[in-house]
Amino acid sequence: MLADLCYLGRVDELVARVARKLGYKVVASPKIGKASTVEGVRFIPRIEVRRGSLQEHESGEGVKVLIVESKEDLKSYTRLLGKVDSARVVFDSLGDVSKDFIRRIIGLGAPIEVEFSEVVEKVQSGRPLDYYLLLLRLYARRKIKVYACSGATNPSDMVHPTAMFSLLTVLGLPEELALKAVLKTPVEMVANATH
Amino acid sequence: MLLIELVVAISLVVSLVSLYLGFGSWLKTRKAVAVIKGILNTRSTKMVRPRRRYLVFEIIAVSGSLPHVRKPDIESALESSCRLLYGVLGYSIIRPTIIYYDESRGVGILSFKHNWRNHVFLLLSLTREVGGVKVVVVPRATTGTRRKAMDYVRRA
Repeated sequence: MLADLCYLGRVDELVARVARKLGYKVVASPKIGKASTVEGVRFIPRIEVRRGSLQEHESGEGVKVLIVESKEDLKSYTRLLGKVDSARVVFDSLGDVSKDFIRRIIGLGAPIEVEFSEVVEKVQSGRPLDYYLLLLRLYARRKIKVYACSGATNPSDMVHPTAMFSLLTVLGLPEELALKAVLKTPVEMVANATH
Repeated sequence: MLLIELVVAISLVVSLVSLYLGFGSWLKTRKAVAVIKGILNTRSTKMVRPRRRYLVFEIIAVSGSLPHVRKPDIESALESSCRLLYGVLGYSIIRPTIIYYDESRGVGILSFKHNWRNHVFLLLSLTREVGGVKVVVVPRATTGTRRKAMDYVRRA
């Protein structure tokens, strides 16, 4: 079973058809409020929560993703354990990444999201990938978990899982870990998420 | 008393010397083993001969119709994506070539060098517009011969 946990566009039959052709069985989108099945593809809600609004979404059903925009978002991270399924680090608004921040990310224990479209956009615009490489290094040392998702906003941006695997291996990740980040970790997250 | 102290001192000196000699011989042995391993290990010095691989792909038209997607348009889209990602040198090494494309079904065969497999998959995923039609390129199978790839296309 394959899962794309970050489809950011509107969900319709075309999206379901493309997802099915690409081999996905589960797609998570923030644009839907309830889990549904379209053309054999299961769509589940993706709840993007900020540190301040964590209480509001505590009972929400779906994959809960913590958006980390500053170092303070991971302050006393032990309180977040079990409340979020994964974390997404917005490096553009984060500024410098300190050792303390890395320690907090490791301590959080939740898988960290690596968005395919975001990485590719950075590559194409010639911007550095230092922070993503840092995440992948930590993953290669088994300090954190990482999973890959498409980050597509329309059906033509959706990517085949092999493309995500290829991106991770081209960035220097060993093949077994890249496979795990694309195939195993997202499915585990879907199984653990409440929906 | 003096004799005992002398014996202890001599034994201490002898043990230190033997420790030094043992450490030295261990270092020499390690170096010798590394040299022999280097001579025997010819694999790292050999260049791997690149073999051709044949990738069966399918094009899904997201906007527009599939017959508008033509082979020359796919070739030019792949070339521009390849040049953008890997540069002129990368393009000349990978040289992705479409050897067959069925315009009615949107199924084709792409040939490339085996050691650039992951790069080609990434390249295909970044080809999102062909001849003004928004598309998704889905890799279906990779084979080692053109005949097997054609068999797969016929069965698909």
